[in-house]
Parts: sequence; C-alpha cells; structure tokens
Amino acid sequence: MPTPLVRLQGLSKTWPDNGVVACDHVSLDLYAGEVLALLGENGAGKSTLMGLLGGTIRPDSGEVILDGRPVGPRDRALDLGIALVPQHPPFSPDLTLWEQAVLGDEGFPWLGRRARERLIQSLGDTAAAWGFSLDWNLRGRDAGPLVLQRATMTALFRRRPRLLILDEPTAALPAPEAEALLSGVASWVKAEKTAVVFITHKLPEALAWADRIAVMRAGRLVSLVTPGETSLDDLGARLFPAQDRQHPRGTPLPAPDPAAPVLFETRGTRADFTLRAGEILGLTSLRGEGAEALEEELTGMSPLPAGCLHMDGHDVTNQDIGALRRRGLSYVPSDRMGRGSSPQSPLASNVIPYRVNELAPRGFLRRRTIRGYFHELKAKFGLAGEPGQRLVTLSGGNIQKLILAREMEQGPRVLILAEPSWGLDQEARTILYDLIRQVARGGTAVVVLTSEPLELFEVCTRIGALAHGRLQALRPTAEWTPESLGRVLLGFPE
Amino acid sequence: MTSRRSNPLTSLSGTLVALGLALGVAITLLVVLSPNPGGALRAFFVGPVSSGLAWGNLINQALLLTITGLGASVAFGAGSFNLGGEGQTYTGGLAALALALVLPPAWGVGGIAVALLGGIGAGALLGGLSGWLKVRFDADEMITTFLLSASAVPLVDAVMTGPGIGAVTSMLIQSRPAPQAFWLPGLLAPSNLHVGVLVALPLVVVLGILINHTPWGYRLRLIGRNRDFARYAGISTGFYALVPVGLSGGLHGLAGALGVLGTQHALVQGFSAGWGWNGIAVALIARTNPWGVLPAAFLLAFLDEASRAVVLQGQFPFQLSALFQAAILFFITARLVLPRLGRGRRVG
Repeated sequence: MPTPLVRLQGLSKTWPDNGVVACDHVSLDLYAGEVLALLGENGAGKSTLMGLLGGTIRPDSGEVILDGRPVGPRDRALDLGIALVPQHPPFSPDLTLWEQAVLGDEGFPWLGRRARERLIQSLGDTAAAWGFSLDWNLRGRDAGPLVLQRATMTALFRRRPRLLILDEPTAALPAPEAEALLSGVASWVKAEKTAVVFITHKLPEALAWADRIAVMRAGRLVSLVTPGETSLDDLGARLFPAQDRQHPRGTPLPAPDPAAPVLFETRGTRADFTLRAGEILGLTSLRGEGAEALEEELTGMSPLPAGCLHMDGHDVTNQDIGALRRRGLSYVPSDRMGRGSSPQSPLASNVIPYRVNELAPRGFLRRRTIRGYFHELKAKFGLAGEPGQRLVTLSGGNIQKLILAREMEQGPRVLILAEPSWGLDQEARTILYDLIRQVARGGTAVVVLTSEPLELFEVCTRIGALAHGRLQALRPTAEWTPESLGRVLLGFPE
Repeated sequence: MTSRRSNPLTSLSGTLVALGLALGVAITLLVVLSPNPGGALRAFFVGPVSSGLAWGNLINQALLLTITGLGASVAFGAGSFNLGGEGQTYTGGLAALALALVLPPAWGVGGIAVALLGGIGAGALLGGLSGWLKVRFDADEMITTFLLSASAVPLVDAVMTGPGIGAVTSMLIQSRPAPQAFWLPGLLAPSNLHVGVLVALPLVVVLGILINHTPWGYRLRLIGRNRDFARYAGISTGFYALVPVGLSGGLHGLAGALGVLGTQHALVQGFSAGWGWNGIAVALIARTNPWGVLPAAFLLAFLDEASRAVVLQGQFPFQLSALFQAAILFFITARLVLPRLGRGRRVG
C-alpha cells in the first residue's frame, strides 16, 4: 500500500448559526494519481468537507495531514499545493480575469507591458492545454459563471497544485464539455501524479471517470467503493436508501388540452411558440447557442432583438419584468445568488418581495408577520433554515428550493424556469418535477430552459431545440429521442 | 458552501474595532505630543461635558450629525453612495439664507419654515441630480455626488460674497446676516444649541420606522443588498436610485439651513465643515440603520468636541482636531470599499 498524499482524520464541523452537523468525524485517505468522486444529496456536507480540506473552513475537530505533516490553521492551503475550485468562484467585478488569476500570487512589485503580455500568454497556454479559450482582459462583471470557473481553474493550474478539489465542476456544463473536462483532469492526474476530488450529482460521470467513489449522507461518509464494485442502481441505492424515498417517480404527464387558453406567445423572435395553459414547454440548447439569451428575453430582463411577446392576450413586448410579473409571470433564474436572491439578507427577506404590500395591510411590516409567512412557506415546501438566518449560510440546493417555493407560491399564469435542477440531487429533482407537473395541472403555462436536454423528457409536453441562436425544431416530447435531439442541438441534420 | 464572512457594512464587531483603533490613535497622539498628558486627557474626556456651554455645543453638534447621518444612512441603505453631503449641506445653507434675506420678516414662523424647506429643496435637488444621472446615464453616483458637491462649495463661496448677499464690512468671508425674525431661538445660551436641531429626534423615529418597518423601506434595503435581485423581483430600481439620494440630499440641506438660521445667522465660509463627511462616519457606525444614528452621532460629536477642548486647553495646534477626525474617518470608512466590491453579481 503506498503512503497517502493526504489524510483526512476525524474531521467534524457544526455550523454555529443553525446547529447543523455538516461533517461528522469524516476520515479519508487520498493517494497520488487518483480521481475521487464525492457524491451526496443536497446538504449532505460535501461542500463543507471540501472547504475543510481546502482550508477555507476551519474544523471543530480532526485534522488534514499532508505528506505526513498536519496542516495548521496558519498554513495557506494553496502554498501547500491544495487548490479548491468552488462551484461559484468568488470574483471582483472590477478586475480583469488575468488580474484575478494572479491575485495573491503576484510575485512582482509592478508589471510592465511586456511582462503583462508574457503573463497573459502563459495563462493562455495553460488554458489552451485544457482546451479553454478565454479572453483574459474581460472584467469580472462581464464574465459568465462558466468563464469564471475556467479562469479560476487555469489560475490554479498555474500554481501546479498536487491536490485539486472541484466543487460540482460539471453542474453548468453540457455533456460533451463535461466529458472533455473530466477526461482532461483524469489524464492530468495520471501524468503528474497528483490527486483530484470532484463533487458531482451525475452518477454516470462518477462511474466513468473516478478511481474511487465516496458517498456522503447527513455529514457522514457512508460508502467508499471503486466503479468496478458498483453500478448506477447500486450507487442510487447508497445515496438514497429505500426508506428515505418519499415521492414516487414518474407521475404521468398532464395531457395538454387543445382548447385551453393561450397564455404565452412569441412571434418573429429567435424562438416562436404558442403556449397554452397546462403545457410544459422545454427549450434547450448547448451553452451559448440560445437558451441563455432566451432566459433574458422571455422574462423582460433584456429587450427582444426582434418580434413580439404576448402574455394572456396582452402585448407585453419590451415591457420590463415588473410589468410581466403583474400579469402573472414567475421566473426562477439560472443565476441564483446574483439574481435570484439576496445572499446577505435573511431568509425571510428573500421570500417576501412580492408579498410586502399584503403583509403590511396598514402600511407597516411586522417582524412577526414576516416570520409567520416564512414558516408557512417552509412547511408547505419543506424549506431549510430559520427566518433570521442569512441566505448564504444555506447549501446551493436549499437556496434553489427557497427560490422555487417563492416563485411557485405566486400562483403564476406563466412560470419560466431556467436551469431549475442545477445543483439538485436526484431526490430534489424528483420533487421538482412533481412540483412542475402539479403547477401545470393547475392551469399554469410552464417554460423550462435548460442545458441538460435529457431532463426535458421527464417533465415536458413539448420540446424545442435551439442551435446557432435560433429555434430549429419544436414538437411533442413523444416525437423526440435523445439521439435526434442531440443531433439538432449539435446543428446536424437528424 | 459559500464563504461565511460577515458583511463588513453591517458587522458590529468591525465597527467596534474601527472605533477602538481611532480612539487609540487619538489618545496615543495626546499622550505623546502633549507637554502635559494628564491635563490633555482630562480636557479630552471631561471637556465636552464640563459646563452648560459645552453641553449645548455637544448636543447641537450631535443633533446636526444625526440629521446628516440619517441622510447618509438613507442613501447607503439603498446602495447609493452619496459622498456629496458636504456640498449639499453648504448649498442648503445658502438657499435658506437667500430666502431669509428675500422673504418679508413679517411672515414669522411661516417664513422660517419656508427658508428651511428651501434648504431641504436645494440639498434634495443637488442629490437628486446625481440620482437622475444614475437613472438616465448610469453614471456612478459615488463619483457624481462627490464632484457636484466639490463644485458646489466654491460656487456657494462666490455667491456669499457677491452682490446683494455679501457682507459690506466684515473681516470674515461671509454674507449679510439674516433678519432677526428668521433666527431660531437659542437654548443653553451662549452655546450653539437652538430649537431647530431638535427636529432630529422625530426624524430618527420617522426614518427608523420607514426604513425598518414599511414595504418602501424593505425595497430600499433589498436594493442596497442586491440591486440585480431587486430588479428581477420587479422593483423599480430607477425610482429607488433617484429618491433615496434625493432624500439624503434634502436631509443634508436641512442640516445646512439649521446651521445658518440657528447658529451663525449668516452664511460664513466653511460653516458646515465636516458635517457632511462626519455624517458618513455616523451612518457607517450606525450600520446604516436609523436607530443607530443618534448614539453614533453623539459618539462622533463627543470626539469632535473633545479634540476641540484639548486644542483650547493645551498648547496643541488647531489642526489637531482635524487630525483626530481624519483618524476616525479613516478607520471607519476603510470598510466602505469592501461592500462596493460586493456590489457585483455575487457576494461572498
């Protein structure tokens, strides 16, 4: 048995705000040259464990031992060769990508033009080795989440880490790009004798690319297996033991009623469709091929480049989102922390923005009323947390649940969901799909925008595929197969 | 899991550390520079409360800072960094004085009210102009409030000595005095205190309720925390970019008008020195919550009066007072930069 590169010994962490035991005496050895996949449902403690390993969170007890030496609280993880790529890398909106890449590791008192060009060149070379193409002069505010993730990874690779931690690196990636990334990581690990831990909700990914698979439940490490010892079904059972399942899967789709009123319609736009009450329309594209632009244009966040938008029989072309919301739009954005919530505000403040007037009948908002409303929503949708707790203290999946609950509670006429299952585990996805069907049965017109085409088959009555920024085909779900959909998305003839 | 670092604009411990550091610097300077450290320390800590005169000046200063601090809090709470308080205060003073010179003294209390409203209006216009530039051209209000204020000050200086307003014979750069009918009645004479500044107390209550316990205040705070989320939620961010900074300017203008009609009775060059800037420090100590503004204003006013007392008592140069204020402002506002970086799409 070789000596482990890193040993995690009895790591425990309880969050003081809410008393949640995020990690409960977790011990784990990591070896040079191995890829470890870390699985677990939302709130199982995966991100916390990686934070403890990456040095961004201090454990209550236990320690991390690197090369036989315990890592102390004053050690900078990165100096020791431990690099963490968070799911949402922190960034400065005002700095360019290359400036952020060298932040904390400048190694120079000042930088001339030549030296800067050389630096950007070397960043570009590192990125190119990984198949990334990045504009290093882009400012943080103009970079999308995917670009930020890649820039962060490139910056860390420049430091030649020995242990790389990736928190849901593929959550926002379409399948081909996710595969390219993981295969790159796997060969890097073998070539450089480094180690990688990646968190994922996608079981096939773990089976395909990991040397070992670790499963966490409720803060504890419950399984550690090799892909050869397990299978999709076996992993699913380890993640969600039968007694934990509350919702049966595969509730039948609602049958669309051809006589139902038209609630949402676009004409002369990049994606023309007519949507009736009770329908669930799925629209998908590869990243950057149209779905993101649709999210902005259908919700009134950006003006339509061409054409018009009708809601419930009214022309709402180029009206802002406030006007659309007054006509009954609810919208779950793909950017949860930046757009969908106020991370530094309490949970209660995050659920009431559309309700403030009715919660203040005489013009005054009372804390008790707001808390009462939060608890009502919490009971109805199974939310986590306390009303006074700041939103950032919740896990990504629980934040998404709160946003979904807030938007669905509006009883929308039209519900637009962008990437609704990002960061959700299988259990939470099943609940989400049930919720969507339930909302549609109640007479809401639903649009699901996603870069994960397969999930559309589970929940949508019709599926439309975009490529090169325009809708290429739109038909009932039964007339698609994953293969035909994939071909249209890639821009090939079917 | 996202970083769990607390918001520097609202963390209590950060505020206390900053205050402690500022006080530490002030005391160290006193002890090191003074030929008589004991006397200097006594003057510093006892001076501001040693007599009715001192109390009057302390309360007057604290209540004026309460008003400018409320003004800064309203803007900061909405995420609008109004750095133009100084010029808005100054302009408010000019408007109030000009009205006092023009209006018939027979109007009595009504005339005073109109002059004060004029001060509020002038400040609100100056602040609102930055809000409008923000809505119309997406101009950063931190820059425009500062620049507008910086250009307003010399303009007011020019006007106060100009035709019709300037004093005919005076060693100071100042205007003609306002007719006595417009003077606000003094309290604890001969201190600077007058009845006008008492309006700060109901203002704290009104703004405290407005910001913390109404839908309007909720939306304002939401915009301050995450403007993109507020826009997504359908809140009119244009309205909230314009109104809080306008209201902030109005409150500063009121402070300027009160200073002119209550204490100076004329427009004296530099009469508002520090009220605008110290209002920012007050707002930051109060963590932009109106309920915290009154104690924060008293704290700063005490430090201000204390350094004046030391200067009067000892052999210190008169710049020492400015040095203390600078130390306090430095430690408090060093944290102002951090929340601005967090104004991007993602925090923490």
